[in-house]
Amino acid sequence: MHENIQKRDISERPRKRKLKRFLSPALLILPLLVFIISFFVVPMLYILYLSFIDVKEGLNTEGAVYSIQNYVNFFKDPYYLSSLWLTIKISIYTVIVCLVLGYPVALTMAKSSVKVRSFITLLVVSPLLISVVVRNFGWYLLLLPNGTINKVLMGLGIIDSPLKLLFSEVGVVIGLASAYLPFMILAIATSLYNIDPSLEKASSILGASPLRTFRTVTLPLSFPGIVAGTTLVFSVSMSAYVTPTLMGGAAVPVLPVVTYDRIMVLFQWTYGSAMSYILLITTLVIVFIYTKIFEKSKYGEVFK
Amino acid sequence: MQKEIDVDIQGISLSYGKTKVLKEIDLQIEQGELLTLLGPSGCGKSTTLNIIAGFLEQDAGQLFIKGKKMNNVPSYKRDLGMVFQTYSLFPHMTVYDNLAFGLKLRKVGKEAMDEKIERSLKLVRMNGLEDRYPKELSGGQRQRVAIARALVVEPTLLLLDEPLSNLDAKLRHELRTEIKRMQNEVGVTTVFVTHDQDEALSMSDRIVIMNDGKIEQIGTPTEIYQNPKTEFVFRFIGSSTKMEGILTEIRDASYVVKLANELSLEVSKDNYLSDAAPSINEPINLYIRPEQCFFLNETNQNKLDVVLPATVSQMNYLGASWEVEVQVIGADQKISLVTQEVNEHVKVGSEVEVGWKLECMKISKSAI
Ligand SMILES: Nc1ncnc2c1ncn2[C@@H]1O[C@H](COP(=O)(O)OP(=O)(O)OP(=O)(O)O)[C@@H](O)[C@H]1O
Ligand SMILES: [Mg+2]
Repeated sequence: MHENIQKRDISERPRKRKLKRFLSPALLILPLLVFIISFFVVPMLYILYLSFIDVKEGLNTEGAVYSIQNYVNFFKDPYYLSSLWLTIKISIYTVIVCLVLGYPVALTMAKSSVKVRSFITLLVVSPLLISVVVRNFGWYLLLLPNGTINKVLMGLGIIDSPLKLLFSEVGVVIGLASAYLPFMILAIATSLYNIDPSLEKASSILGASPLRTFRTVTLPLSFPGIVAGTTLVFSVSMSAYVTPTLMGGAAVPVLPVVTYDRIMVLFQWTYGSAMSYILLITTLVIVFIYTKIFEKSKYGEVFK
Repeated sequence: MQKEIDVDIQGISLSYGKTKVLKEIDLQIEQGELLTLLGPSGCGKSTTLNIIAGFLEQDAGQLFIKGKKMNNVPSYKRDLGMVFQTYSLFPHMTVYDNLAFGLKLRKVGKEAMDEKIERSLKLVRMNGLEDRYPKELSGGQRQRVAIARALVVEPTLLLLDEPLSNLDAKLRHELRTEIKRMQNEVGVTTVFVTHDQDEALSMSDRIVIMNDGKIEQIGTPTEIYQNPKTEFVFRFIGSSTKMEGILTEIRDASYVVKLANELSLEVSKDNYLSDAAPSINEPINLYIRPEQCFFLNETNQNKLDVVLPATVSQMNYLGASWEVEVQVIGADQKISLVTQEVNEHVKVGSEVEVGWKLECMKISKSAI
């Protein structure tokens, strides 16, 4: 009897303390939580709900039939499947371009003094200060058949007739890559900053040339940054709308553009909803598999 | 027999902008010895080590390793081993792979590699942990692996830059002994950087005392401790009580210095630490080490040259010994002494007599 009471006393106190410890951070993130739930979770759930309704047009859900017909239709139609594949392909190209252009910049930032580093950071993020539309029109002017780039290339005699840079996959990749390059650079640079400089010294004194040191020490240790940067750029490229519209137009029908047309032009809300979810799930699955491959590789230790 | 010189540093200087960090360092390191670079923070120890390692290039002077001139030879071609303060194990590699790193670069075959790695890990008492990642090891274990990684490639020279300073006192003491043992077993020429004088005194074959980019003295631990050549070395190694006086007379082999309390002391010129000779009436500093001061008793009263009456002002018990501070009666002078035993009459406030031998005193010109 007596023992029981004592036990309860002891067990209750830590629980209260735990509650307190949990409550204060919960209060701090409450505004964000409210925001996310009302403007993200609720609409997403509503769209999910819509995607399972089989109506031809509009938002009239009265007497609606619930089915997975929208999803079935998507996968039966080669046009949509090729649009999905195009979206994935363009996103992968964008990631590769960002990685190839971004890694050297990040490496330079990691090797320079604090002063130079902050200057480069400023340069890298400065395009983000300009609206996407304005930036895209800049590219537009450069990439036109009689735009600057074609003129220069023809003037130098490298090409005979203008390249089709605008309204092509190339144009979209250029637009997307230039827009998302800063994210890639900053993600990689952050992970490079975290590498203890004496590791490179240790590698060198053990006999590794600078190139070998990069390959066996610096590069593997920057994998977390590479993975963060590539998944980020991939995800935003998959859902990009403005750039593909402006730079690709009808010639590059990526899934977000096609979905937009479905909903806003043809008013096929429910079909469009299903398409959004297919895009979302595809992105998540690819990102998931990609990160798992890295974590399961022999370099998995650097992710812990 | 003349020992072979493994590292020959000739007049090496280095500046960062306008600040001279190394000022014409000359140093010869013998084969198989454990040489310690000791000095206060910022004196240029790491800089010297980094020049030997090839991470920094000197502005002037020559560096020879095993007789070969090292100018413009990059660190990865110098065939050295190095242990860093922050362990610097590759976090994405297991203990085995960390050790294999240098061996692979030297194209060692699989069987020989396994054998070498096992032998090295046994040397640092870390065998059985080959498959662990550095994160899964304690600080002391990491440093052992780092030492094994440096030794497994059988370098011509082992460089250690404050390898123990991130460890707690007990571990530091333990690893200090271990490093000495390993160095003896392997016989590799070793340069050890530290700012811990106990570490330097206990481990080294020879100690290089550095100050402000210059070498103050090179010698065995006993030479450095018992025969410091400069005032800096004397004051840096061990502790001492400083007294102030005025030079009143210069004799053939000694100086006569008068203390503030009118006591005159005659100290041999051999114990004079400054470069330039002093002149009459110049202020002089006198030093005596705490362990060379004694309480007066029946057995030592005839052997001590200087005896002063004093009051005990502070007593610290250190376990194996006592650290006592006394205030000289009639003078503004405190004297520290370390003694194994104190009799029951010695308490804070009690009157005692303390004394020392004149030959133990060191004197120097007062800087001001
Ligand atoms: N990159 C640098 N730029 C300018 N000055 C430097 C640089 N690196 C070191 N110094 C200066 O060189 C001097 C010697 O540095 P060093 O690292 O060799 O000292 P240390 O003896 O190893 O000291 P510690 O015991 O603190 O490690 C210091 O005064 C330091 O301020
Ligand atoms: Mg240092």
